[in-house]
Amino acid sequence: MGKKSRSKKRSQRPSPRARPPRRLSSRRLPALAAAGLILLLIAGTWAWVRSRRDEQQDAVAATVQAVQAQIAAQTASAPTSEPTLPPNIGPVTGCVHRPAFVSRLNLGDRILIGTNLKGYTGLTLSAQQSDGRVAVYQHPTWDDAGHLAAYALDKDGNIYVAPAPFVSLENNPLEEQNNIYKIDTNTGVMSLFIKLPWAQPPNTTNPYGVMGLTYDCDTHSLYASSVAGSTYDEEMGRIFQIDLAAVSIVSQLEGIDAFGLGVYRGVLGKRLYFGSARNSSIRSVALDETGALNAEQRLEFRLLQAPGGQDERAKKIQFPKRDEMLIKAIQFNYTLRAASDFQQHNYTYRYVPAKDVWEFVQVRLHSGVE
Amino acid sequence: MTAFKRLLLPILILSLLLLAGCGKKETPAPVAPMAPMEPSATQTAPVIIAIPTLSPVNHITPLAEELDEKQQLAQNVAMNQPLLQKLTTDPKRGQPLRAEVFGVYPARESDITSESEACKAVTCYRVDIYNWATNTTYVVMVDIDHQQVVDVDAMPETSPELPPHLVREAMDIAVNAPEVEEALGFKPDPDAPTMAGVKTTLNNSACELSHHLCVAPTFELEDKALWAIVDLTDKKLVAVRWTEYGDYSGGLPTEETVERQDIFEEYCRQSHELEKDGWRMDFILTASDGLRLSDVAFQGKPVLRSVKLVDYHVSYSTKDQFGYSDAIGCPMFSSAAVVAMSPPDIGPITNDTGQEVGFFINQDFVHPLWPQPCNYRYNQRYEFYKDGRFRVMAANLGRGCGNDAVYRFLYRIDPVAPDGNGQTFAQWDGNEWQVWETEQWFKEEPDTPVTSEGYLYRITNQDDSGYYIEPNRGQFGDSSRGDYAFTYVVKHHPDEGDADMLTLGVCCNLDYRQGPEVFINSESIIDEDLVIWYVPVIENDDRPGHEYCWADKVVENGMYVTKVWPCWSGPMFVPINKPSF
Repeated sequence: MGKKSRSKKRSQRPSPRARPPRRLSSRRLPALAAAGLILLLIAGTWAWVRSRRDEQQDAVAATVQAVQAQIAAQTASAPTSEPTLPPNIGPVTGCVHRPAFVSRLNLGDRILIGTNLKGYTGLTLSAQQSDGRVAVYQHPTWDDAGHLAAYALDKDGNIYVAPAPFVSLENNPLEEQNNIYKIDTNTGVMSLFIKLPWAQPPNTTNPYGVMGLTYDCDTHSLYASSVAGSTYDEEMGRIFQIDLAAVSIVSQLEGIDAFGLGVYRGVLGKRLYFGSARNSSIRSVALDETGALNAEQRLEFRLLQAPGGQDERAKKIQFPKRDEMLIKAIQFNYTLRAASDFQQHNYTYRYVPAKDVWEFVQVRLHSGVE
Repeated sequence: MTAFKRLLLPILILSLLLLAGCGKKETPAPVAPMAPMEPSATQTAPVIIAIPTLSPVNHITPLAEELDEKQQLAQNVAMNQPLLQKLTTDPKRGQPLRAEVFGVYPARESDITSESEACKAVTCYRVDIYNWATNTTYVVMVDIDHQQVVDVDAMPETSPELPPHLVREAMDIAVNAPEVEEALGFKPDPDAPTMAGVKTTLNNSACELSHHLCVAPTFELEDKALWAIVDLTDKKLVAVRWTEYGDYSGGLPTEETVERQDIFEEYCRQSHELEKDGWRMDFILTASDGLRLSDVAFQGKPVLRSVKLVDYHVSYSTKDQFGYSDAIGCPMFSSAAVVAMSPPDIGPITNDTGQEVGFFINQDFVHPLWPQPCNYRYNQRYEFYKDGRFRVMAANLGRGCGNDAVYRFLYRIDPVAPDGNGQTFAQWDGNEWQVWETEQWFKEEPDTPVTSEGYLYRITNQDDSGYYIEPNRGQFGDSSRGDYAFTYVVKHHPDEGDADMLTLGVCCNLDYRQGPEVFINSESIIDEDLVIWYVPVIENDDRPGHEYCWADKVVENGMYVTKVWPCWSGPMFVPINKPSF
């Protein structure tokens, strides 16, 4: 059967793939084998060279892929790792709205609110124009309270702003430093919003009142810190929760000199973070569902203990990303600020949900007017 | 079968195996991110590295530690980088600044930024270079594969991790400082085994005022720690401070926090009594009126109830109504913008022959960033002489916001009669003394007549004793160009300045409206308790060779030093019945 089959195959027209082996004569075999071996060696060498070249190219490709993967991995673990955060974690200022009156000013889209623009007293709006010039707008009422510092916007675009002396008390009477003013979103007019009560009135040894302001969309609350009346020996500052709808103080903490404020919702609930006006510590207190302040403080960290950190005070606490805290810190000793540009360090911390803590990322010097 | 035939099969198999590599290769599956490899860890064969020689123009000091070849290569590439040479050279004068390599490390993943992303594909080293003159760290990322600088990141007001030789130097300075020995009660030796109860660590600290490189060797005892703040730029101890162990609620000790707290505790919260050369007085640093002297008496007789400097007004002539009212005072809890960062300095005054003729009290007020633009430095000085003369002085030491500044210093001088009765004020009109009958002011000009001795005013007691007032016209040997001051004389009212005063007047009026005019309301001032306000008017000058009320930075030995051209002001008070000594 086998033979028959074989012979049948032989009778078939040979196909290119099934070429029958030629019977080799024993005399010609060594020469043919040598030639074949040479051919095989040449082909093998060519194949090996090609293979190596491909391997190298593949290795480069693999390296590029690895680098890309690394970049992707780093990007994923960088401060933009928002997808890994549990839901509802993050800042609470998402509702704030730009003031309605701004649309009538034709300043452009990127408008900066400032309270220390050189040559101006009070609040200003500025925007860079297409020709490079900076257009500045100031409503006539915005310098009525003298030099201003902290401000916060609410969901309707109203601006709340507090006075703070600059260089001298010439434009900032001591008795007005615990006031908060409101710039109406529709009219742009600034008027007195609320006078905060002080433990003791400001005086020449501490000319400051309101230091920080921040807004919470969830409860439509404004938080304000004040150091009015504090002395070297006694910390008499206060933190207030102000119900903006009722224009009333609904909760407050005593005996805390706080500077910058910021509300953040962590895995265990919302907390008000604040920078001490007396040292470089960042502390926090829990807020209940109404936004009321819990008296129990938690020390988060000290700026001075960060690598490259300074003995500075947190002037502003912001949350530019869902898991990122940006602290703008300056020197502060309860003296008046000089006329020069100040030195500010910007500290970045990242929220670690698993531990409900903030870990240091970096600190950068920022010179000039904020 | 021949031997060749026996070899044929293995040869064919081998050839087939070789041919197997000729097929199309599959694209490799994505690989997991690879951790960066330690460049030397996988190196099996020795590699000869050609290390570039240092450029002859290099002025950066290399690291004073032993380096391997790759570190050496990275360091030299960094130091040869023209940008680094430029960054460590004074841009105005081209003089090299003191700069030194502090560290050379294989770059870690955390060192790589978006600017140095190329380091993810090549071997990079990080070279830390410190600029001593500007207190700036340059982080230089060097690609040693291609011997090129990938990125330079300048970090002002920061210092890198110290190299071992500077750690040792800081420890030595602290251990050998008498202040440390005095605080501890024994001479420390961190290396000695007998110091079992004392642990020495090196903490970070800062010299915010001098902008120098400072660290704090810390001697940790059982329940407290002594911080010795060492200035490595000037190689000296600048402060010591005890802290409760682990309690830094008041802030970690730094040069500035220690200085501020010490001055506040010592000179702002308590007054000091001084008796010298027949004079006695109390002095205290105020919240906004500078260094105030009170109850000043000479040879037991009252001379001044108080004297102080209420404000410095500065306006800039080219910018209408642009300027500031600067108050001077305590470094914490004050309404001063320019504050005392050093204690009052008390020292002798000598004449041309070196003879001691009196003493001075000088108080320096400075903004931490001085002499950068829009930063100010002021001095208050009082001079008391053995012959009964005294001079009330103040100066600006630059540099302010421009070269067109007009300074006005608001002195408040409250004289008192020895007998407790009233006093009378008079002005020389060129021929005789004219009594001022009611509260008023006068502006001195260069042609205003003065007596042959240079006296313009006179304040007399009822027994005709008292003082002549000799205005400063540049005759006092302090390079002053004269005061040409506004002088206001008013009746004393306690609520018109006995206590610390808030800002008085506005910054930028150039006429008589400097603030004290608000106390003038035609009250009689004959035989009354008087207060004199003296307000010099001084213009600054930045012309080379003519600098006045000015400061500038110059390079000396690779470091920036500040050159100052002060503008001193203030009148001399000369006793009418000058006793002879």
